[in-house]
Amino acid sequence: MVFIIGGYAQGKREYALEHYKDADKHIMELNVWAREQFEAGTDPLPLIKKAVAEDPDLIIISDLIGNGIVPDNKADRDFRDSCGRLQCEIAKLADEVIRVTCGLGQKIK
Amino acid sequence: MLILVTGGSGSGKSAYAEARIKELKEKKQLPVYYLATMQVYGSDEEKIVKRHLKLREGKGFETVEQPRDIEKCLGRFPKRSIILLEDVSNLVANEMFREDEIIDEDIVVEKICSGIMNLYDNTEDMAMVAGNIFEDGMDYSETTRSYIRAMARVNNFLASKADEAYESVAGIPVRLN
Repeated sequence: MVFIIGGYAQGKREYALEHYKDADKHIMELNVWAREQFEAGTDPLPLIKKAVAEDPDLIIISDLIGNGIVPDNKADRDFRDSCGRLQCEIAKLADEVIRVTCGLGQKIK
Repeated sequence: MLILVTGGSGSGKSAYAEARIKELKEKKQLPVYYLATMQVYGSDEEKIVKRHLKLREGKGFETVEQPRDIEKCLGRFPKRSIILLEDVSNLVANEMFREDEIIDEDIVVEKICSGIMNLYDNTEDMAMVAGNIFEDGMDYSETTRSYIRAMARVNNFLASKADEAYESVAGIPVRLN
């Protein structure tokens, strides 16, 4: 599994399409889905482990959302923190982690 | 050795800074102090403090709380000690936003930069945790912008002094210097 992380509109999907064969068949976008899981009280991590077991070529794409001022709204604060911790866990599971900034990918794992 | 670890919320920056401090403690067999700057206002801060206490459990860190006036805690550490300062973002906020007034950005920056360096000059090693609060692309009030600028100036100064500076991204320390 490859984990691609970076700020909004930094070129994560383009990076995946350019660097991994048949990437479009393996991409999973994390943030919106993860927020739904958290809001439903479901732990997303076991579901992600299952998805990786089913598709070892899975490419998980995720927006970095924690690099800002702490939001006033509790739901936003909680999501930001939970999503960050989930990203740490996914990075541990990943074979490769790529951070994309300004369209440029840095392999950080 | 001076180490700076930046990162966003939930990026694993505390865990990395603590791991480095633990390594230094084992290598040098010196006492470790956890210099905590967070002021507890409600359940959110309580949750963070509890999680950090749990992370430090059994690691032999002694906690010193100093939400502001960092220069005042100088006498509380033996000369050869190892300090984990957590975190710079709270320190800047606590210095700037007082109960009845807002302190000028330039004064806050100068006070914190000299306070931290003075502390470091009197200790063996120090790791500092600092939030990356700069990349959400949101527009804020002038007061918040002033806080962000002060935080950026402090961060840039500390990074220029640090032997090692990192950004923690999804739990992975990325070297910056």
